Amino acid sequence: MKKTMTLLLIIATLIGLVSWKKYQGNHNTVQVSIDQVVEKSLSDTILASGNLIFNTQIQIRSQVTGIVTQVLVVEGEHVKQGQMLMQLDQTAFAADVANAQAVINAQQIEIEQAIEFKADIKRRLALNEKLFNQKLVGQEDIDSLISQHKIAQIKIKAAKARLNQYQANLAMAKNRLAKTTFVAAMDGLISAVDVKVGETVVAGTTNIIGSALMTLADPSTILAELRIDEADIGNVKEDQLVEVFSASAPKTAIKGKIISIGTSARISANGQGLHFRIKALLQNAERLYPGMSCRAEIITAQTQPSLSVPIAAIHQDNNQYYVWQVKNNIATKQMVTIGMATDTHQAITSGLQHNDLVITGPSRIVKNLVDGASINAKNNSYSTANRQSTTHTSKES
Amino acid sequence: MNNAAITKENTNTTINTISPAVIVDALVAPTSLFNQFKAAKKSSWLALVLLMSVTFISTMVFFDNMSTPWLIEQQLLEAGELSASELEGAKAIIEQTAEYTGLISATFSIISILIINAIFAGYYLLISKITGKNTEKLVFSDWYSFSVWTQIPLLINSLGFSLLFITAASNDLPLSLINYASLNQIVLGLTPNHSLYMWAESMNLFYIWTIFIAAIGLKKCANLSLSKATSLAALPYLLIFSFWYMAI
Repeated sequence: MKKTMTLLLIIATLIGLVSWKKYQGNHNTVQVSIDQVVEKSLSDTILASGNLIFNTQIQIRSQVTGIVTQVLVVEGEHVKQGQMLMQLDQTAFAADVANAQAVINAQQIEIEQAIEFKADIKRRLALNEKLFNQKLVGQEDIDSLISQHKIAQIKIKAAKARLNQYQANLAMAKNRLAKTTFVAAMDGLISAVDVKVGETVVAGTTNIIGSALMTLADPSTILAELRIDEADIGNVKEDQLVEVFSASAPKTAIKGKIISIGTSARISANGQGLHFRIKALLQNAERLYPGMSCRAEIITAQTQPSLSVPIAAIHQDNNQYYVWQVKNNIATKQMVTIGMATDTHQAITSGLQHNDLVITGPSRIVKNLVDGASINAKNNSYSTANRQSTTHTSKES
Repeated sequence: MNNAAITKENTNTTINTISPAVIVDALVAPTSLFNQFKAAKKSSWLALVLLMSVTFISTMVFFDNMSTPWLIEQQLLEAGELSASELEGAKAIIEQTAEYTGLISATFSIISILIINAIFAGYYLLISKITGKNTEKLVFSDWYSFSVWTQIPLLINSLGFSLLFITAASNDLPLSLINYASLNQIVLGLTPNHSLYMWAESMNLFYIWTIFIAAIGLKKCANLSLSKATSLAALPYLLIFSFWYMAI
């Protein structure tokens, strides 16, 4: 009997505990995310991606083929205009110069020889003219010497012309020799060094681009070179504001302005669709490096500041919109009228006040909320929302 | 003394086979169970199988009825406050194992029962050797059986848990329902981001019942005074939760 009573007591206690838990579950405080109603400008934006480049940038390529003997700078080094950057092997080019110089020297000797030959003809002509007057030589001898004198003059001219040709060859050889030494064309930063001592650099030809050796850039200004889908290019104009997010700081917006828009469509790298290239000048080049990938939001339209909430806070019931407003940790259904929407935010035209709190999720819990339910705010996401002054709707390019 | 011996002899003859009634005795009349402890040893294996089966089935059914997205969401909630990258990492791992969560949890639960009983059996054997009052010459398997009897309240805990989720309106229930009888859920009500949350969630009030049965059992089987038996029965729990609390 005692055992039966104890067993019944245990069963009753268990049922009581379970019932109490179920009651507690039904009236329990649910944990939700909340956000604050803020006044902000909603923006219409176009998303784009691209890479960062320096505003002024020189790709140093070789005009001659040769082996690298010296690389005198390293990546990231600042250089002055005229500073030597690298050197190719000069042996063959110096030999060409010496050869051309020797040919010139030989030609100059030949000219001297021709001049002397002409002078000799002239002297003999004068002598024969005296002898002709004394009737010691005939007219034929005189004519022959006159002809030889003219030929000697022509030979001198031809030799001088050849000398000019050889001098031009020398100038070309010297020029080629000079091209084995690379100097900075402007003050700037060596942003890339793609060559090492011992490597052979190849001169560019009509169809083959020469070896890229170095990149010299002016680091004071940096651009974002962005790819915009052809469908969006109609909304992009010069001087539009751009917010660029570099790969290294994806949450920090760098303000910029569009300075140029490409005039012809290009085939995308993946072969699908066409895009235009636009360039945006960034206001702050700090900790940005050329070649970095970036994404950008081009602000094509911006509204006046108005009350807005995260779009997750808006619910619809029979063509009427409502939010779950939080007052003293109690959820209340609040009907609202809505305005413009972006991908993330919805403008509220009536029904809420600035700084009101609304529930934004989780959706599964929000779906089962009842009016007057006790809630517990899981996070303070609204504090981060406050820090942002604008929000955007985006079309991705 | 003679009367007790006679009673023991009489009862031995009645329960020396496997009997479910002994399991009920462990709950409602532990003194009479431990009076005939050796005779009830066979029934303890039935109790162990029953405890493991109920735990395994209830855990499996609880998890298998849940939708996968809910399960992932709940596991992330239990993980407390995580950074965005940690959250992504945790989510990726949970998604991979979500399908098997029920099986993994149920298997882990029954393995835990076996291991915990073995640890307690070793502990009780040690007590009997140290106190030198192991008059009944109990060996490890006897103490394992003893430990199983002390854990029987957890069978009621599992039945209560099953009752809770079977009668619930939705299959998507919070994971914390497993610890419905914890100190946290009955008294404290701490949130997952609280430092003492796991500690308080782990402190199941059924452990008090377990300690009570163990105290009665130690008094009888190790021939200890009630106060000493109670202290020694509670000692493992006190040590574990005290060290845990200090480590937080």
